[in-house]
Amino acid sequence: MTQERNTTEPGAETNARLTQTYRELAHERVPDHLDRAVLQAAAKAARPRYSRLRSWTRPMAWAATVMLSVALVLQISDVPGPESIIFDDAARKFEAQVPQPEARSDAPGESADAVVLEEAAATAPIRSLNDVSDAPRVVAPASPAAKQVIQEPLQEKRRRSELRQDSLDTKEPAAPATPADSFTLRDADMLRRADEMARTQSGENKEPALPSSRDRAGTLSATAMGFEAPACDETATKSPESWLECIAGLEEAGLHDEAQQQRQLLQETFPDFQPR
Amino acid sequence: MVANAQIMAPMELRLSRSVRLAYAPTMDTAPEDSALMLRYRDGDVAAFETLYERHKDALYRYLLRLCRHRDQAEDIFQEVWGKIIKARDAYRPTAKFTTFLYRVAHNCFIDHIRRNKRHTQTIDIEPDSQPDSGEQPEVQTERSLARRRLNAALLELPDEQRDVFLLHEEAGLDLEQIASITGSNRETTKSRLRYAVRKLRIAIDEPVRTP
Repeated sequence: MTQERNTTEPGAETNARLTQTYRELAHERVPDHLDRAVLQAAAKAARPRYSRLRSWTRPMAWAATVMLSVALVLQISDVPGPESIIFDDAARKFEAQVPQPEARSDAPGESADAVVLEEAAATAPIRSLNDVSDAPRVVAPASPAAKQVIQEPLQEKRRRSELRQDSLDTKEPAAPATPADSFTLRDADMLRRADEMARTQSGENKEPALPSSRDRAGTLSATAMGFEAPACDETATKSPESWLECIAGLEEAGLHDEAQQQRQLLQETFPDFQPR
Repeated sequence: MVANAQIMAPMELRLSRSVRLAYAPTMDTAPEDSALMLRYRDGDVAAFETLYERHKDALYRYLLRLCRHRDQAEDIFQEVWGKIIKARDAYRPTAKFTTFLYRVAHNCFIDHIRRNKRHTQTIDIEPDSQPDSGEQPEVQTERSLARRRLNAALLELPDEQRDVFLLHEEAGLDLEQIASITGSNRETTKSRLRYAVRKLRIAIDEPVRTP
């Protein structure tokens, strides 16, 4: 090609010789290391889009994995363990039966209860710290030891309440038990009045210590069961009419034996009295 | 009218196809340099390898004689192909690929001279390592002497004249293309080439004229 071009120019035959001599002179070839370098650069540059994509997707994937792992670990660490659940349970029961401070000061015999309750109160801050998070709380059954801690003061309290009621009771023996199913609100009201009358008879006006709602309910149910059958007091037995009303009340409460005894006493005391 | 429409439809199809496959190789001719460059732009490394094989030796010799130093020539050679690779996305086949390649090489050489003010005069090119062609010893000696004198004369040429001569001989470019690459007009390029050829011709003819 070069020779063809040279033939069209002046001095073509001399230029042809020059060209031939130059061709014989210039025979150098590119070294292999240069070939490799250039071809590697070309091959590397031919896949830039994919490599650019991969260059940020891999670190991104690692970062996402680490972030998810950290989030998962933090989430797991926020869930309360079984110990804190036991403490939660104890603290909840403690709150339900915590007495008023002045009432406790009136009942010096309950120092053992106070110790147990103070122990339960000591666990209360743990629960409040755990309650800060909104994580759903897993409610697990309390261990036997925890149940014992909770049940002991309750049983002790119930026992003392029964003893107190026994001391308030009249000389008559307890009436036989009646079915609790027949107990109504009206009955409860009447029993409460009978209880007050009996307390007035014995001259004791002091309120029972720690009158929690649970204890009161236990007392009412015990009354309904006939463990503390109220007798007609002096006020009621002053006149035959009031005595009769009291007996009617006993009968309505289902205490038929007691009513029968009172009726006999009424007839003995007022033999001339004829009920209408 | 209907017949014209029928004729035009396949022609449009052929045209659109030829536009879409502008750089597709044909059966009878090798793919053009521009087509290879476009294929490489689309990720075909083999096209670049073909293109490189076509031009690497001529470009290397051009740079070797232009720089007159092998290490510098190799550095510039690598730089030139690096720029070609980088420019593949912006490449448009508006001119001949050879013109584009040697323009890049010429600019790299100019930058190299500007960077290294002391343009080295080291000559480490082996002038005569031509294998034995089986000719008469007198002829071989005469040709060897001619090559030595040509090499010496080429290295003695001014940079501009040597650049023009090498672009003419190695790259096979015409005067307009050389003018475009060197940033001079056609007449200046023609003058430089004429001076260079005259000096070199005298150099190789000298032993012949001298008995």
